[in-house]
Amino acid sequence: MKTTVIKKHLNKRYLTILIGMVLFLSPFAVIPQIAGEVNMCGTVCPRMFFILSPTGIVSGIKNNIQAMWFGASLVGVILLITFFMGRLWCSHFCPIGGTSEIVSRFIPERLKINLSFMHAPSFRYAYLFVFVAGSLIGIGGIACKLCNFRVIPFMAGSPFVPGYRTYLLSSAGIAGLFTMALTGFFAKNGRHYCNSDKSLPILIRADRDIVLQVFVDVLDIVKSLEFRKVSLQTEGKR
Amino acid sequence: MKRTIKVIIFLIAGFAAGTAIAKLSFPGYKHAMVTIKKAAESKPLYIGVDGGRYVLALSMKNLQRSKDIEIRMAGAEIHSWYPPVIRMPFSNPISFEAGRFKEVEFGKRLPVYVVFNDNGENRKIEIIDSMDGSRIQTINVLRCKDHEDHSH
Repeated sequence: MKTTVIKKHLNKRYLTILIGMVLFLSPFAVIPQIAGEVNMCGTVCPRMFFILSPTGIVSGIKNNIQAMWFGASLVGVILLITFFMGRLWCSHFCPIGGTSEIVSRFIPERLKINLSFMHAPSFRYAYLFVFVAGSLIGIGGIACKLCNFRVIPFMAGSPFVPGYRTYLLSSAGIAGLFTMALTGFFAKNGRHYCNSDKSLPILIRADRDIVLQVFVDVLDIVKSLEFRKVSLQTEGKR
Repeated sequence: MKRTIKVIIFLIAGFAAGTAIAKLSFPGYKHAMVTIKKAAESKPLYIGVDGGRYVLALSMKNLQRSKDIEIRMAGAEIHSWYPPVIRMPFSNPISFEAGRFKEVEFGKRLPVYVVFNDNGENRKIEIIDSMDGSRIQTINVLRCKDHEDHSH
């Protein structure tokens, strides 16, 4: 009985992930086309708008949100969903994490890497600090480098569009594919850079999911202080 | 105590990983931002002395009125992400074929990949108004030893 319930839930979750993939990824890319784009870059980019600019923090954020208004709005909607429903977006809709998880299911377990030895939150927040403030403090910008919001949509579009193949076969693209393989496809459970189960560690969340995870982590801390309403939110629906 | 040490180690590791990736450069690949302005004097783009296949990834912001733009470089292929694979009925996307973009609105950013075999020569990217064949802008692509980020 329990096995049937779990199987039913998994089937429903994979169905919603597939819907997310159709909505966000090639060949359909329905959501990006609403914003006049064809993938999750440009106006739809959900991660670059909060990078602090060395030319001016406030003006930089204002310009970034103007340029990436759709991505910033998408993050706002996801934050709202997460506030009321826990990690529903990550586990049920995210086309990036979802694709990685689905691909990972076809890879034998003995070939997968277990990164559970890491203390993911420390790694995650330190990486986030560099991502957000690196340009401001003179380290340099991470921006699009090794971005999974570029690699996965480009992989989906590569059978149809030569431009995507051009990028994926370049040194930058190969590095991105390698990172995706290491932290996604060949990682245990397929999502070492994000999680739909709190017991899994997170390797790198250098994308808008870091914003979500910071938010959910705050809720988790509050929950541990026994605020019941918050505990219901962070359990979420799986 | 053990947990504290683990936290500190992975804080340092996260910071180190972020710094390493921020400073990462890729051989045979360069990204640059370009502004398309009629008759504007463009700063040159500098590419490293790598040789072999080179991908110049340009983010070109259209700040001139022509909607039909052609990108050319002798001996290079020009690629882009446009048009969408399956066009949605509500969208009015930019079309792209053989280096020519159509229906490019003012202020729109064009993703362009210029792919060529780096034979050690300096090159030129020409931006042409497809409507009347006039030249909008020329951008020189020059060689340099170090991979520096040059944005326009």
